[in-house]
Amino acid sequence: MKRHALLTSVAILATLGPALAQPAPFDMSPESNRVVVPAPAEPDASVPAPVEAVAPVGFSRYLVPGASLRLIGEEAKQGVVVYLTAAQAAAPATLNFGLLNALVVAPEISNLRVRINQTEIAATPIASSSGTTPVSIEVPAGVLRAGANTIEFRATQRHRTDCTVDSTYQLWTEIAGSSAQLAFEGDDLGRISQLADIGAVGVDATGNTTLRLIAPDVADPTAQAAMLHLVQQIGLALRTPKLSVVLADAPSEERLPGVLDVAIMPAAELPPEMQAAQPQASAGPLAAMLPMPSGANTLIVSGPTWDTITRAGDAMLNAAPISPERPRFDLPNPLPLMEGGASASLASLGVDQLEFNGRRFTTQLQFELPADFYAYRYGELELVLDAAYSADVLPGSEIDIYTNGEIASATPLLRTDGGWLKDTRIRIPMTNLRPGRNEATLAVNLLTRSDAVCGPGWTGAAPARFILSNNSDLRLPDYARATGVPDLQVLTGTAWPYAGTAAVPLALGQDQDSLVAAMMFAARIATASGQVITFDVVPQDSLAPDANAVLVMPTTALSPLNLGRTGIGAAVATGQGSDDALLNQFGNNESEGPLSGISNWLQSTVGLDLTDLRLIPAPDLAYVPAPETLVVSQMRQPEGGVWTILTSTSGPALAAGTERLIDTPKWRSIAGRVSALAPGEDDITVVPANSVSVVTPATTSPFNLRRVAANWFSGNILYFALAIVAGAVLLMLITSRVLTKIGRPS
Amino acid sequence: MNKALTVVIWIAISAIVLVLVTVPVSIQTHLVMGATLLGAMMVIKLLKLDGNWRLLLLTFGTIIVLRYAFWRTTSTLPPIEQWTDFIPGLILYLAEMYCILMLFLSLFVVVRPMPSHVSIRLPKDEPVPTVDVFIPSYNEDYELLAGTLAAARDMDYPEDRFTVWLLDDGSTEAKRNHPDPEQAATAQERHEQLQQLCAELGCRYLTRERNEHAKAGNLNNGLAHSTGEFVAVFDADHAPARDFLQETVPHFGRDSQLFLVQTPHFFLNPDPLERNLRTFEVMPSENEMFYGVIQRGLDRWNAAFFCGSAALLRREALATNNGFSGKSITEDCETAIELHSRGWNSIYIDKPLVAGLQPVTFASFIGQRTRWAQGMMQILIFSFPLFKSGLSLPQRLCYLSSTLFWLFPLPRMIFLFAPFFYLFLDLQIFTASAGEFAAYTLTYVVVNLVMQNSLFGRWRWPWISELYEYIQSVHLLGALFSVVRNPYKPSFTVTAKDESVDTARLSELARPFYLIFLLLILAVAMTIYKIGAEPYQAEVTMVVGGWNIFNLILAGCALGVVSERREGWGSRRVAVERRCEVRGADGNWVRAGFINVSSGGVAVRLPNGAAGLGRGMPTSVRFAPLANIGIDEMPVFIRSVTQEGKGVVFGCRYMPERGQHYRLIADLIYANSANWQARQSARQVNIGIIRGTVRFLGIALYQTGRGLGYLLRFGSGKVLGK
Repeated sequence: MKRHALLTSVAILATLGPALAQPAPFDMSPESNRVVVPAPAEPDASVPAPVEAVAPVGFSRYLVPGASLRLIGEEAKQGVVVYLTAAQAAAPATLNFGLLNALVVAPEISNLRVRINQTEIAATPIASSSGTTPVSIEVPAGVLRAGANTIEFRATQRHRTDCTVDSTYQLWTEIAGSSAQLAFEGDDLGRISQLADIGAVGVDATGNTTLRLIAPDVADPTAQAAMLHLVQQIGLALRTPKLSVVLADAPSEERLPGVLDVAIMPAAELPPEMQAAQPQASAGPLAAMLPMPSGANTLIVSGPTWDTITRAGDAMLNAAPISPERPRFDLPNPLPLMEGGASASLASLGVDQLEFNGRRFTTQLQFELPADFYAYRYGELELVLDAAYSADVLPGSEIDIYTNGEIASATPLLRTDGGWLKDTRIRIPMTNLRPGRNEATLAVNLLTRSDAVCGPGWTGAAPARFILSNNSDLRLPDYARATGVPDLQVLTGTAWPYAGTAAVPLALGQDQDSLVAAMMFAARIATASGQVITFDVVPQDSLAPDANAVLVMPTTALSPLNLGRTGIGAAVATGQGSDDALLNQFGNNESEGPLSGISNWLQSTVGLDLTDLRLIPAPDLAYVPAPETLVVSQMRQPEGGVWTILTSTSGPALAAGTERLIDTPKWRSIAGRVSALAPGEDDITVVPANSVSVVTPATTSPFNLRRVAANWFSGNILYFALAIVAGAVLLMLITSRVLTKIGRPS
Repeated sequence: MNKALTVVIWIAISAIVLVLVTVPVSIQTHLVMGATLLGAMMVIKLLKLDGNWRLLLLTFGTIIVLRYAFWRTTSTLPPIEQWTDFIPGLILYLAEMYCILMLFLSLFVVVRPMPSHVSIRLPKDEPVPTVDVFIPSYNEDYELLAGTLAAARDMDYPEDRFTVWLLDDGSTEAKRNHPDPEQAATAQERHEQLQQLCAELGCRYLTRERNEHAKAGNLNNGLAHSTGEFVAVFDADHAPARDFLQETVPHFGRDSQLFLVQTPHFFLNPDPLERNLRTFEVMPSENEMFYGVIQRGLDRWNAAFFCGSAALLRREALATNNGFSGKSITEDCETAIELHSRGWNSIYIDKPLVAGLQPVTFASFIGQRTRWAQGMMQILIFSFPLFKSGLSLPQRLCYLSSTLFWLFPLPRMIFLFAPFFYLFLDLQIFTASAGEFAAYTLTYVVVNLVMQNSLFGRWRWPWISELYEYIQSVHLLGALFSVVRNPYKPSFTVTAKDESVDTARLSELARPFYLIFLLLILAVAMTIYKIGAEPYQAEVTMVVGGWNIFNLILAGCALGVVSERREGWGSRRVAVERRCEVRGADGNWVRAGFINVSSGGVAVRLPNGAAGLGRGMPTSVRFAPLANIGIDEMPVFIRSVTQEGKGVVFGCRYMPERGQHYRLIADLIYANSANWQARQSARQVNIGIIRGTVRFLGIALYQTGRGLGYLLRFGSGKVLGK
């Protein structure tokens, strides 16, 4: 009853002419494989932007922490987390967004459902293939709440004419980030007055969150360390994935979406407009939202000295802690940490029970692995699946599991009489798993008898043919616990080895760009791992090779000694260096050799990579960054320290590159020993480490050592063969000796 | 380094290797490691390296097998919740694990087989020990017994220091007084004939009141009536060579705790498989693997056991066990395990010193094997060797190996039917991808072949073990179950030795072999259908179908085994070179020479023409016997005449009239055991895996055709009818 009432409350704004609101004419021919590209980001001039169209009074919030939300395939789900203040939650609200979908989506059988905090507030047909259709939905009172709110878009999309699995890839619906807003009615709703509400800063139209840092003493190492600490804490408290940082001289002149002014300075240096906080700041550490005449949300972090300022940040994390109830903007689904031997039901991972009548069903889930997850070369995790499929399903149908975007396992459905997959174990190699957050996709491709016929309208009318129970379990084995160094993936996913230890020496370039880059880098590590690293800013000459260290500076500022210790080659215009690098580029193209046939065959049939057959790894040559390219490099010093450098050829390139790097897809591509991002590129260039040392936990069991050995040997294949041969020879010699001692003498 | 320390170090290193082997590395790593070890094994084998290299080959093989077992255990069993997959999957798994256990046990047994014991002589100044020679008989016919008794009497040993006893269980008092008058008369007649034969040959005849405890009871009756220090036992069809006692008795003087000297059973005729497949002359016989290497291996661990015949035992030792044990129907092995557990020792002499006969028909061959299998099962049940107190650890392992071996029908039948679960019922009983199957199972199978060939290659050609196991399994499986159901039920059945196959025919046990063959053909058809109809699982289908085709080849070959060829008596001849004389048509003796002899007759060459003799004429030959027999002339009958240049060769048949004549025949046949050894070693050649496999395929193909041909010719009523 209630739901029905809600449905009727959906109103499609009649700002468009009737002709445009019509579903697209039924003349497209999907057989021609015509790929329909989404309309350009710039909306048609004749269509007024929905932002201007709605927004009568009050205050609007952007929702999407990214450029857009794309719903792809027959069943898709995308959600965002929006933090609201108590005032915002209580105010009457409207959800506005613009909808654009592929031409081949059949409007009469495809729909989009919107849920806020598990309450479905609207369902609308997907019928906007000719242009973006604005949608406006009144949010019923009581649905929104102070703090985290999950807004979820669920699309059911069916092809107009085609019943094949391949055709489902053409189904998409897009909600542009700039079009999705929550509009509240009321006065001064944009104000954030409590630290606990800091997440309500939200994002701007492009999905970014920006910190404007107002700090007088940016050259003071103590101040720098305090600022680095603070931005990490703010990043965590905000629950944003990505935090841009700019150094500002003065407070904002007005309140802007997704922007937070942060004043960080000792009490004595507070500017006149913040004098109100001075008495409290002079007494002790202070972190508070300060009401400003401009209305801009401003956080003040202060104290009598820089030491106390550092402590002030802790208060903020206490007020806005990291907890499962406070997920990151872009991660509405549960994200449990899976230790060895752990299991989690699909229900607990946010997967719904489902009856499916389409061709390709996909569902996403995620989980976290600890920094010392070291089982990516051997071993398998298990999905214990409870599912059923009807007799309509033909053999050749398949359950595919993707981990972090790579296919990991394909299980054919073999029985031809329909089946009940009760506790079916699907073994999934852990090859693509990594420390930190892991994404997995469960995809079911269904070939059916009735789809082969594919009568008119059948794409939506087919009876349910696949049922997935979310009692299915994801089970991890007891996996090896160790860490390979260098491995940037471990750092960017878990903050290892710098988090949770004493202050990490950080050598910072003298320019402000280095400081800004360092802050964004540190904040991004924090938002990815949930960990705050304590830095101690020191001159680069005082870095000790036996201790961990981080360097953030342009290559030109790097001392020659430290250049060698960070795996970065100096970009020299003349002389040997560049020649070597040039020649080396050809040297690395091994696949061109005469053995490439065998090598490719081995790779494709048994997955054997000939480079794994090296006894002595190729040397890790210094990486020479191209001009303006941002480079992250990690290197383990022979003395024991793990050094990481964030650098580019110039200060501005360093800051600009870092801001691009912290975008989630790029951030998750960082791996290996060196990762580089060239100015015009979107892809990260990854240089894997040839020589990796393994660090085991301080206390480790023999069983763990065995598993660590399994992973290590699986990457150092010849060493395993050698170890076995050596063991066999020893065993043979001692057996021969024993045989002379026992038994009847000849 | 003392013994204990060495063993401790061995255990430590083994543990390290075991840890290394069970590291769960990726499949690619396993593949590279497996290829490395396999390559090394091939090199060692091709270069025929020996000594520690052989040991290294076995160690490499062991590691691959262990890795397979580890993988098979941890990754391939279907989930227990899917019991329709799990139960057959577990059964297949257990069958494989049994095979791996047996491989390791036999590896232990034959890791270093004893070299031949050096012949020793009795010391000149000491008294010659007395020996009782027991020849137990149940239903063997007169001629066979006469030959064996004569050969025993001919043994080279002081006349007064040994007594030959015929222990006749075929004419006990109970049998002579059988309610059926006809049977009673037969027993009475046998009683009188044999008594007379013994009198003529100078042997003692002994029978008893009732047939209690079968062969063991008969032997114990013999023990009760005799007093010799040592007891030699020969089956009625095992005629000893002249030097049997010379070769065996002296060993007892060197070890007062020695209870047994066992010698191999050498056979003059082929077993049914060898006869029907025509491999007798070229391929090592089945038992040669046991007597050629396994008994020698057991001997290393002081675990060579009594095989019922061709052995010499110490009476004093037997007395501690109240004679021969009779709880099981294999009294021989049971007696040995009892005496070993009491601290007595045994040795094995690898020199054929008896010549015997094997069962001729497939049915009696199966009968004999049924007794062995059931008896060994009884020992396994009554006195489980692993926990038998008094035995040393190596002895326990050896007896475990010897008894567990007879469980082979179970895995063999499981391997035969396992592909059906997938092909016909679509069950997934072995969960592995085609890649894993190649990396683990294929390397394991190849390594297994290489190891078997390296251990037994001279005595057993590739795939022949599988064939022997298969032909026995079909009928032995039921026999094994019957022992488990009631361990006391099996009774001693005497193997018939004197049959002959006069006409080509199908064995009366042939039916199941044809039915299985038909099923396998259906499975091949199913494979082809499945590959076409279910292309998405063609890979798995081809792997399972390939396995099924291997079974089909084996089963096809077995069709040849149950298709009994016609074969006359006495065609197996032993070459001899001895001078003799033949009585010519005019009654004068003509100089001649023996070329070869067999149990039925002799070939004689007359260098200067036929002396007036021709085909179909009776005459006599005379020669100087090696033993003191008293006569030197034997009547014969000329069956064939062959011109040979100036001379002529007569094929003669013995026409024995008196007991003494059998001693002459025995003198000819069994005089020289060196002959037999030469004949054995001529066929003990390792032909290698590839040649062996090709040869086996050739045989299998031909025999499948022959088997099907026999089915068409003789099968109408026998196999398909009823």
